[in-house]
Amino acid sequence: MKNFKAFVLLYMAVLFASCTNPDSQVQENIKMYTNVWDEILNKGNIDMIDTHFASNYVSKTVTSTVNGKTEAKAYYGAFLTGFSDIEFVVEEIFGKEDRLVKRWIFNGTHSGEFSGIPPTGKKITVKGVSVARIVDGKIAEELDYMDDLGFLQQLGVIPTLGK
Amino acid sequence: MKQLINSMLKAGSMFIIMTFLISTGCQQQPDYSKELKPIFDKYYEVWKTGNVDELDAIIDPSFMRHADAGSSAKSLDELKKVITEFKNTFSDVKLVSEEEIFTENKFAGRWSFTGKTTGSGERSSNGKSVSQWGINIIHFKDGKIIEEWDGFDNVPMLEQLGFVMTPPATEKK
Repeated sequence: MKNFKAFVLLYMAVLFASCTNPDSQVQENIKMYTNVWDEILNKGNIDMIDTHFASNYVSKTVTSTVNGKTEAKAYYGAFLTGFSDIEFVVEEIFGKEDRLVKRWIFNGTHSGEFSGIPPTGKKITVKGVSVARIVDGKIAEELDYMDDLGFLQQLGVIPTLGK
Repeated sequence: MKQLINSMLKAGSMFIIMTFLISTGCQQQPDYSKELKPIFDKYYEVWKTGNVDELDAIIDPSFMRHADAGSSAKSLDELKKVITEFKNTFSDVKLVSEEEIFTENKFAGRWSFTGKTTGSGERSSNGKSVSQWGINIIHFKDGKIIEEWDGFDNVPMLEQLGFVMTPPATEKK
């Protein structure tokens, strides 16, 4: 009987321990994710990719797919060399289970070559929305939308009807 | 012996009650999709059918939609115009909700769209097929949609329609 009681107590303890609060996990992911992007874009700390991105990281934008940390460093590094006075603001962030969603604004001055466009000195503002997946505390996947047309138009790119 | 069986039964029922209490107290995040998904599904349905009068039941009058210049809206009436223009511009519309995340009074998801520009709208003359995907965030209030951010990219869309992007350096030549 004593053994049985001990078994019940142990069982309850295991049950309690396995009952992690899903909401606190999401809050932890939000904290990590917000901090990583603040470091990368606002502080130019591109090496955060080494420590906080999963090795099989995948990012999909409308126009490109970024595979792995090396490509990620090249892709996001291009924003750091193309723009100065970067101000990256997260307007809203929320999540569920392993997913996070954020609305953001990127402000910067086009002071370096970007995507083949020589520096124009223009101040640009781009808005975007991202969906991310966090696995074991690391950024594993991102879907990134940004207003590319508005962005390119601010850099002086003009869409013309081809023949 | 009888006493032992009795106490075993007592402990057993305690065991079941405790397990039940812990497992119900140990819930996942509440499932907000039950409340919000029907509203969301109705909204997408209207984008497909163009029956904008059905929006009255699911959209708050002070609704705001933040998107590209051509499809933003500052009221329910403006949203009706945006959807009507969309329906006039594209035919064979296939709008698929690829991923859906519901939390308290919020939705986020990814959609994909294919259509043909064979309608009667502004960009409709050349009959080309286009495809696009985007991410949107929706806020709900009192069972209605009050605000939406819809992110999609118009550069690939314009390229599919035959536009060429001319960078400023090339332009000067």
